[in-house]
Amino acid sequence: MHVLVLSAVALCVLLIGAPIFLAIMAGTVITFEAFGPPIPSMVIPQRMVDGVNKFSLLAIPLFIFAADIIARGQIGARLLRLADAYVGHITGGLAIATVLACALFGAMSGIGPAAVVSIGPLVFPALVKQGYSRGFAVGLITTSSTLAMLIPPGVAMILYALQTNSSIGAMFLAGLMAGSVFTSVLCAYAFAYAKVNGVQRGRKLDWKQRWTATKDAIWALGLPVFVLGGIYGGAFTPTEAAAFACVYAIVVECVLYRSMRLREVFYAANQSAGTIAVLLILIAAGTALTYYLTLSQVPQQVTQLLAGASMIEVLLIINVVFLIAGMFVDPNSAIIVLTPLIFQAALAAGIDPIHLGAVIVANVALGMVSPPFGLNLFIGITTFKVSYREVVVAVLPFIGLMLLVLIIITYIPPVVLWLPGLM
Amino acid sequence: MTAQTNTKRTPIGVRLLDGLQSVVTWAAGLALLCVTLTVFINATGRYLTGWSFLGGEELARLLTVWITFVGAFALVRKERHVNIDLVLGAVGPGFQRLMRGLSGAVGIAVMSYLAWTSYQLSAFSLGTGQMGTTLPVPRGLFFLPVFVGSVLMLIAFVEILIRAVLNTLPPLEVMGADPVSPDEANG
Repeated sequence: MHVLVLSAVALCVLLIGAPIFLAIMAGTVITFEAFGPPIPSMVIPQRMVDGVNKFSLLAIPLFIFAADIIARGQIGARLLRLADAYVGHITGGLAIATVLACALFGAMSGIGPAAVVSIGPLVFPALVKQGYSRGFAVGLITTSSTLAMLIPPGVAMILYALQTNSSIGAMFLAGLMAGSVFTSVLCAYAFAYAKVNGVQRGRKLDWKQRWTATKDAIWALGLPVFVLGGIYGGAFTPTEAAAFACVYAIVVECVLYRSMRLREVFYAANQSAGTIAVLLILIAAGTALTYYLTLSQVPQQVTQLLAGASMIEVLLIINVVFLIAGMFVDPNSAIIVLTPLIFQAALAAGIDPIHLGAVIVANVALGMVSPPFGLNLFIGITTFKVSYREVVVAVLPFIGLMLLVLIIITYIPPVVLWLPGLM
Repeated sequence: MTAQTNTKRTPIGVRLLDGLQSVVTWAAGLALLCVTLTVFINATGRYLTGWSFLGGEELARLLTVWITFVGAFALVRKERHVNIDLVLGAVGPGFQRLMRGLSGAVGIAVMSYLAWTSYQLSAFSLGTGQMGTTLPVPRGLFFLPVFVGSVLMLIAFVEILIRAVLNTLPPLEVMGADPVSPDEANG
């Protein structure tokens, strides 16, 4: 009964267009006061603070800040030149270079839409000029940018790890495996598209020119090496690695590349603080909701409901639920609200928590480009000045590719669990 | 032109809130830079000099809690929090105004509750004299931002409701919808 009331209140508030955190709060507060146990109401703000008062959680705001700095600077352009220098001359070279640049960018930023804004405007005209259709170019860039969610340090990965008390390091490795599979599939598709459509190849650069491109990007490439090497080498925690990423990005952009002034770093901090507040207040509200659901034993009820289902059936249900959620809600909200509900049921079905994390993040990454409300679709519209219809049609083949990767990740667990298993 | 500008001057209350919003945005940015530097200096200090600021981790957490609750105020005012604008994008400007007003009313109810409960929590925690584990500040400072933030958000939701009633809300950017001119948005 109380779950029905909670869902109905939250849904009504969502439908009038109120912020998601407000809908979660409204549902939680009303059901807590009406049906909750006789404990003081101040437990609600206390739980909200507990939700964001974690040192490990600081990795999220710091990686968001690092991504904002990188998106404003020259790192994206240099990575693109580097990838183009090495693979631009092969069939589908520029498209493959775009995918690789987005993957490298993802290894620094951790946020889905950042690469669309940073790399998109540079490569879109070049792709069209070389003979790729506008639709292919838009679809390729908007979809490739979701690699940032899978390839470490993905913010969604950290969020899932914190929600489930899983190892962030293991999640990063699972994400690296999933991201590598997706990168390979996208590169293969780019190659096939160029071959079938007879897209002209780029000029082959000599080794001297390649060395120049490498030299230009060497500081940018140092960032993921430094951050991930530091985490897996045991030198620092993911939160400390995120702070290093911020300072490294500031030094590279302001001092070495001279593409930003310190004033712009402060503007980036202002903008990031807004993004962070939006995400963390959702986490705070989600923690209050999770607390209430746990008090009411809702996760146990979900587990009982799915008790007879096999692992494959549970994975299928999780896929469907997160896919539908991803079409309407942003990835982080979906992870915050839905993960606590299904986590116990998934464990009871024998699903590895790291595998589950990779599946959930791959689902919400797919949601980023899924109509009607995938965030990257709208960023694509504003970045490439295309219509909603054009961008939706453009991403459809790529959604098919992402579904293929999702099936591989979901039903062949060793694909993502092999590397974390070596830890 | 001058007369027209004068008649359409922004009310003093809105201008005051604009000023408050700018201060909050700048303070949140500054706090984020402090968090970054605190964590960075502590981690590098540990390796390079063997020294680290004992309360650094707690300070970074404290600042993040403040960014979360107080920073959320600016986003409520700009109506930039994550929401589902499926229905908002499909209805006309008049109905849109009604829905935004309703959102404001729900926000007022929820934030009043949160302000009251967080005030009780902060007062209780400050009253016990409990201090941070490593940072020499009252533990109540971790709960105070919920009170400050919810009061600020309450004000922002009141503003949204009043402006919806007075039909002076700025046009809303809805994803995927055609841009609405201010005149259309104001009915």
